[in-house]
Amino acid sequence: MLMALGFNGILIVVLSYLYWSATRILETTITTDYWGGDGFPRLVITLALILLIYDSIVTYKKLQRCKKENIQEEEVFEKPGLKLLLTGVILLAAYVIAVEFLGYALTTALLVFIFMKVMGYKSNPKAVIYTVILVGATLIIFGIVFGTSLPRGVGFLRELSFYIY
Amino acid sequence: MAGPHLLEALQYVFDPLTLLFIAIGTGFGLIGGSLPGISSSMSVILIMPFTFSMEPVQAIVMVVAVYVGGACGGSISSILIKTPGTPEAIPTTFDGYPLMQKGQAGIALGLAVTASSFGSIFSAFMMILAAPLFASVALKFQSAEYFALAVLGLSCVSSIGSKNQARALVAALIGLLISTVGIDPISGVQRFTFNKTFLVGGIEMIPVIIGCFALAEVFENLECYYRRDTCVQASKVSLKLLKFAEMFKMWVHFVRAAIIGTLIGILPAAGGTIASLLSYSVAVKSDKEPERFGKGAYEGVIASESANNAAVGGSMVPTLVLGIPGSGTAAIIMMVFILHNLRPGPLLMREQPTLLYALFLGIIIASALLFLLGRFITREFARILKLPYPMLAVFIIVMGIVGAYSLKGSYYDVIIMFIFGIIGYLFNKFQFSIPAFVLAFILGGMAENTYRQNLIISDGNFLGVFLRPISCIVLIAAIIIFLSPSFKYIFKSRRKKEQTVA
Repeated sequence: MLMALGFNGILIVVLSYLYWSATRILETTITTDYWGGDGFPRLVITLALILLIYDSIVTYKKLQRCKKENIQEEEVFEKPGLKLLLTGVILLAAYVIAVEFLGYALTTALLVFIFMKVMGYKSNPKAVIYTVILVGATLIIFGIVFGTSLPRGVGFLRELSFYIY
Repeated sequence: MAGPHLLEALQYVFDPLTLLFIAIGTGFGLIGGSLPGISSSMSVILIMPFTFSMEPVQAIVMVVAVYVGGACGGSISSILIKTPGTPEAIPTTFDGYPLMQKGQAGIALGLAVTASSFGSIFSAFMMILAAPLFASVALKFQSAEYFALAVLGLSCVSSIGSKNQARALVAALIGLLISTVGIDPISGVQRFTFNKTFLVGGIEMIPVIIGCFALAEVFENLECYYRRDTCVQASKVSLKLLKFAEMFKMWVHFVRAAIIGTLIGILPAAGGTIASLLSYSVAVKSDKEPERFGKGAYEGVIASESANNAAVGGSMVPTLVLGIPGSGTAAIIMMVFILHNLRPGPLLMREQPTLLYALFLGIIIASALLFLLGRFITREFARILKLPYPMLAVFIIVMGIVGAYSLKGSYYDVIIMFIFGIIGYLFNKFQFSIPAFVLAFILGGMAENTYRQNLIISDGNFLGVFLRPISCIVLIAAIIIFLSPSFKYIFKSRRKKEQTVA
C-alpha cells in the first residue's frame, strides 16, 4: 500500500505539471469556441487529481489500519523477478535507441538472441536458428510482401538493407 | 422484382472463379488481420492491384471478403498473444486473453469466429433490407449524437478491469488526457507536444495498445518467470465451437452486438473500432454480473466480435447508397468501385441491383468461410504457443515492434509502444484499469471534439447536447448506466440495514 501511495504521488506530480502545461496552451481565436483548447484537458486533470487524492486518503487509512492490526501487506513486485524484468526493460530501451542506427535486421537479431539468453534459454544453435527464422520471416512478410519500410540504419548498413528489403 | 437480380447475382457469385477469389480474399483478410499493424484497410489496399483485371463483381466481392476476414482476423492475435491485430479487436483482448490463460483459447477463438460470422451475415441482411432507410437516418446524426455515443461508450469505464473504481476512473481520465496530445482539431493550437514534432500529429492508437497489452504482459511474465509457473502454458489450440444450445443461451449478446455494430457501421466515419467498444460497453453494463467482464467472459468476446464484423456490412450502407464511406476501409473499397467505372450513390442502387445482391451474397459466403479458413489459420498461428516462453516472449516483442513501426514507418511509434508498455505494466500492478484507459483514449477525441462542435453550433449552450432527441435519450441512458453501480450499492446497503433492524 505504501508503494501504491508512492505511485499515486508520482501521478499527482505528473498531472499537476500537465495542468500547468495546459494553462500555457494558446487561447483560441474562434470566439464561439467557449471551451477552448485547454478546457477539456484542464477539466480531465482536475477530476483525475480529485480522485487520486481521494484514493490516496483511502489507501493511507487502510495502511494505518493494517499497521494497527499488525497485518502484513502484500508485496506489489516480486523481488526475485525484478532483476530479469529490469534487464528486459534495459534491453528493450537499448533496442529502441540502436534500431535507428543499426537497422531492423541486425538490431532485432541481437535483441532476439540476447533476450532469449537472458531468460535462460540454453541451446545456442536453437537460439541462433530461431533468431534467423524470426527475423527472416518478419523481413519477408512485412518488409517484402507488405512493403513496410522497416528501419534501415545508417551508412553501410543502410546500403546493405536495400539488397534485402 | 428482386428475384431476377438475385438469380443473376447467384450466378455471378457461385461461379467457381468468383468463389475462389472470395476464399482467397477471406484468407488474406484473416492473415492480414491477425498480424499487428496490418489492418483491414491495409489488407484491402494490398489486394487492390490484383483486382484491376477482374470483372467488377469479382473484384468487389473479393475486397469485401478481405474486409470480412480482416475484421475477424484481429481476434486471433488478441486472444492468443494479447496483441490486437486490428484496432477493432481491442475489446476482444479484454476477455479473449483471460480465456486463453484459463486454457480456453479454442473456445474463445470459436466464439470469436461464430460471432464474427453472425455479425457479418446479420449486417448483410440489414444492408439488403433497409439500406436506403438507414442511410437517410445516419445523415441526421450530428455532433450531439456522436458525443452521446462516445459518452455511452465511456459509461462502463468504472466497471471493467479493476476492482478499485476510483483508480479505474483515474485510468480512464488519463486515457482521455492522452487523447488530447497533438494539434487541437478545432482551434489548431498544439497541446502537450513539448516542441516535439512527432507529437504534433497526436499519439497513435496501435503503439499505445500494443504497449499496454502485449508488452506489459511480457514485462509481467518476465517478473514472474523465475517461478516458471505463471507464464503462458504450452497447449494445443484448435478452434472449438460450443454446442448450439450453449450458444443459443447467449443469443441476446449476439443479436444486440450485431445491431450495435450495424448501426455504428452505418454512421459515416465511425467504423468497427467504435462499434466494438460501444458494444462491449453495453454488454458490460447490461449484465447482471458486470465484474465477470475483463476476466474471461464469453459474452465479452461475442460483444466485440459480432459488432466489429457487423460494422462491415453497416459501413457498406452509406458507401453504396450515398457514396459516403462508413469507415476507412469502406473508403478504399469505394475506390475499387470507381476503378471499375462504378459510381457508388443512389443511382448505383437503381442501375446495378445485381451488384448489391452479389455483394450481399459475397459477405455471406465469406462469413461461412471464416469457420473453414479460421480453423486452419488459427491452428497454424497457435503453434507459436507451444514455443518455450523465451521464444514466445521475443516473438511477441518483435511482432509488437513491427506492428508499431509499420503503421507509418516512424521510429517514434516504437518508443511510444515501449513507454506505454511500462505504463501498462505499472497500471496493472497498481490496479489502474488498462481496458478503461484504452477505451477512454480511443473515445476521448470523439467525445471532446463533438462536444465542442456542438457548443459552437448551440452558441455556447453547455447543455446543448440534450436539446436533440436522439442524443438526449442516449445521454440519459449513459448517465443511468454510469451511475447504476452506485444505485445498486445504495439499494443493497439499505436492504441490509432494514434486515438488521428487523
